Amino acid sequence: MSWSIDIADGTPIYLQICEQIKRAVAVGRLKAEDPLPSVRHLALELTVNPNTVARAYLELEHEGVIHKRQGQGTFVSPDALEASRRERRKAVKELFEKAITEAAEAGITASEMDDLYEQATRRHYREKL
Amino acid sequence: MNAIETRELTRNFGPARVVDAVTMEIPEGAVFGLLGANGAGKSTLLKLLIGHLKPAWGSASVFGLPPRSPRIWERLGYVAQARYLPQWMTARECLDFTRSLRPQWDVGKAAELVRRLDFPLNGRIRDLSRGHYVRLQIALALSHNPAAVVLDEPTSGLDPVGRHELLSILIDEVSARGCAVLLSSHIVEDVERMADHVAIMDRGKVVANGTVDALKTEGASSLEQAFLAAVGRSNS
Repeated sequence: MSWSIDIADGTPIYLQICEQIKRAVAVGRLKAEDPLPSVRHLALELTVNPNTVARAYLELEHEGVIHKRQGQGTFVSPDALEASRRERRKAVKELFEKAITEAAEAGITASEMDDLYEQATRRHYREKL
Repeated sequence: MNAIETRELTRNFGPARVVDAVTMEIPEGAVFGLLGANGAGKSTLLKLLIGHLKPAWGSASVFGLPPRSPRIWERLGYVAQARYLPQWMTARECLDFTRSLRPQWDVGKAAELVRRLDFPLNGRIRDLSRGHYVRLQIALALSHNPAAVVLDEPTSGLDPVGRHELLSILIDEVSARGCAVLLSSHIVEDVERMADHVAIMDRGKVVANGTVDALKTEGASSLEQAFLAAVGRSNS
């Protein structure tokens, strides 16, 4: 599996690594108990500070997406899919809250917002079908 | 203990204050980037740290030792920007000579570095290109497995292959041994990729100091912007 980061992107590198691994889990490219590259290997592949990769792994471990096994390396957790869904749901919820705050500031009413939400979902699922 | 620390470190050249009250700490195992335009005082600061210059004021220490103590070289490696190695020696003779000065010299490590860095061993140092000269210096600086390495603009003058190999070697030093790195550069991308912590220098002063992520996200969208803003701010 190949990994990449975008230096020009303002997102901190450790977060880019976290996001990429969670996305790989969400789309099934990484499955439960799949091994992850060692900190050194991923740092070499991305040409970044190993401390940054170690920080990303620590963050993912806290979130329950990956786990370490002493002397064997780092693996995708059995409930990684659920953990990364939970994290993504949290991110989406924050986006909704931000949108609602902005809408309220622009004087958009609750029923107008319902309409906007419905239009957006309909468009999304129509495009998918 | 910090690998390297300075307190109010100051140095004048004539009336010009080239390094102006610089205070910083580099913990063991950290990768610290020193970012600044040419002439900002980075090289002078590094020379003060390793005892090649005496400060006018303030102090510095390397693993608790004063910079002028020869014992710092048991735990420190240095890659200079200027050409200071004896021009008449061959690269091989220079490696052998440095080995005689370093009881901790690791023969296997030296051979591996020479293989990875791929510079001509039998050519005279005076005939080495800038790129090959930097590669030789990296082999000299790391063959005794130092606990910290100070590099002054190591990637300038390297081609993309050499630059990638140097950064890969540093990644190995950090991940395998927890080597502390002080990397000075005017190339923002190198610092962004490699450093946990960065100090931005302008006209001898540290004008911004923090984690790369903090500098990137507080009032700037990239480290380059943060750098330009910090340097611009100190002009006013």
